Amino acid sequence: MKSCPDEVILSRYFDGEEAGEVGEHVSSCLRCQKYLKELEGLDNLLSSAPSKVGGLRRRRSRRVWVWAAATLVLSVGLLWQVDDRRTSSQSVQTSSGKSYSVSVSDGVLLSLHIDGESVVRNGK
Amino acid sequence: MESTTDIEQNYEAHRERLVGFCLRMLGDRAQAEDLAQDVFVKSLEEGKSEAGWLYACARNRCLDQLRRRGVWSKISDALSRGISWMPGFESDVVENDLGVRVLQGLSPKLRSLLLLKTYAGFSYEELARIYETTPEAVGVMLSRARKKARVAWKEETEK
Repeated sequence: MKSCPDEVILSRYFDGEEAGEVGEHVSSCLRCQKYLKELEGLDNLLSSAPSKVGGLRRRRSRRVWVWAAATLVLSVGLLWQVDDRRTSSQSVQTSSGKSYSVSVSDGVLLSLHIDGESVVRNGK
Repeated sequence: MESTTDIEQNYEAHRERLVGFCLRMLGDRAQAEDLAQDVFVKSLEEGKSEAGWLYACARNRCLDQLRRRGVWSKISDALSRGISWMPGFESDVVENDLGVRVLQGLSPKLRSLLLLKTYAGFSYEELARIYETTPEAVGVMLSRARKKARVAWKEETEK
């Protein structure tokens, strides 16, 4: 094998899924050896246990939280109003002029429209 | 069917690694702990606790969780549109693990595949069964996942 094997072959070789001529090429190719060394580093990183140090919390202003809470209450309120046993829909218009319509079937959100724009369709 | 004591002992032996798997999938420690607990409850219900089953179950739960998160993120994005200073509902915890940061740019499918291979030690044949594909296709997807993770890793180390 004169030219370097592609990344798929080298990835398979790293996993022990390729042998023979790939191994012969790698033993004499510094470029492929460097690539495999990188895969080894990545493998060591991902196979090790995650660091024990906890998350770093990002600070946010209180005003942002008020908005976040308000929109969450509105969303949950919309979902709460509809019967979660069958498919049903509910539309509301807020004082700010935005219109929301939500459709739920068996407790699963099917669709959500905000001002006529489809945000969620078929639960996705 | 394994005995409850066996299941508890097996689960305990794998618990910390399972939490780590969920953490690297979700990037959120509290959710990872909750999800690993769900896996334990499920293993008691099903009477199974071998490593392969535990990780496959954790993978399914994590993918469900990420799907739900995707829906909520769309909703919050739409709700916050027009209010420029209001951020979305993304987690406000930045996990301090390099593995989490390297993996966050990968799709949930590629992320779970790479983790099941590197972190949980699954073979190509086992992965092919879980992802309902061939070992050859697993090889191609793993290469794609590694390519993306390598780029992210380089970016992280250059910061």
